[in-house]
Amino acid sequence: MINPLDKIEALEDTAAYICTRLKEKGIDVVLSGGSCMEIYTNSNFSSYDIDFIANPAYTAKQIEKIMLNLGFEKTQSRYFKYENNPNYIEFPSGPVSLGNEFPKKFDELKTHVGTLTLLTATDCIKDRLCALVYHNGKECFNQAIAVAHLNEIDEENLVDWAKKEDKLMIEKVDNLLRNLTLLKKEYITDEDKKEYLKKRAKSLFLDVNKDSDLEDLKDDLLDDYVLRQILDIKSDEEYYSKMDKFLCSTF
Amino acid sequence: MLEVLFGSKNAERTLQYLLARESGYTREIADFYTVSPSVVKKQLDKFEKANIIVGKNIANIRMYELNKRYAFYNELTALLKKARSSYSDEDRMNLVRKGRQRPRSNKKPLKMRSEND
Repeated sequence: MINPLDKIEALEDTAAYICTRLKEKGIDVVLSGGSCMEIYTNSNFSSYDIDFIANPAYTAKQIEKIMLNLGFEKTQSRYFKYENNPNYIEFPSGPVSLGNEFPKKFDELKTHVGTLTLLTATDCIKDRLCALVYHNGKECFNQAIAVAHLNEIDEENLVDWAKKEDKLMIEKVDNLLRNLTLLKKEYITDEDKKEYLKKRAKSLFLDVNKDSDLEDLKDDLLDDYVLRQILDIKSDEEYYSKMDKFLCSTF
Repeated sequence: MLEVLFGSKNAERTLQYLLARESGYTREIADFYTVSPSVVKKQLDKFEKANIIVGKNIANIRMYELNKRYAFYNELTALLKKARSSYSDEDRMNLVRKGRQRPRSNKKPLKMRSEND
């Protein structure tokens, strides 16, 4: 007998299928982590992890039973894997928490194989910022900006949340919103681009007037989302050439 | 690029890795360049003895970094950076792009979507 999972590969479809099957058995789960960001940015920044947070009322055993019935295998490392599906499914302990906040409102994404419950775009940003600040996940700041840039978000809610976290989080949110303002400008001038690069250089203790520092800057900003947007860098292949061109004409 | 100066290709690679990633241990560096750990260990021992790099034990691994107090640290890093800027874009990106450093379940494989798409 063919398992429906054999025809599913995409992250959102896999997640929606599992979420719906669990819900049918009365178990509510919410998609969190990098895969949420992946859906909101329609990108390929993250790993093949699908992290579901289950309502703490349900035990790991109950979830395991359903996952095994769906055809998944449980590994010694606590994640579930289906042979013909690239994703690694894990159920970290709940409740859903974003620093000091326990969100109660989630979004839903309808797909052809089911409906997925996931963090809202604003909460997804909080999740990425928590990974940045509390787990030193430096790449997560770019992910947070990407989510903010490509989705409607509640900026006021984000600011209020940061105030309940700590000083560093307020700083990060402030920085994120400043970057967002730049990205949302109707016309980004060369002066805007120059200012952005100068600010980034300063934050990295680099001097844009020194050639050797410019080389460092290129390497340090390799995955900078804002830079890639404002210089229209669409792929790794054009990164160094577009950066060279801009830096040469600007500094 | 600098292999003649440093004595071998793996000597240059070892220093480039430590410069780009800030620190590293034998197996990590060997895995990155797909060479034998013993080859990398030999270079690390040589540079540590010469005070060019320093190491510290963390649990059962020895973690190395460039010695910022080495007399020619600035000159050495300038040379390495210049050499790095002449690498192919792909090699340069692989070297400077740091992997995920956040916590992760023990033994859970880390496969990135970008590796396939």
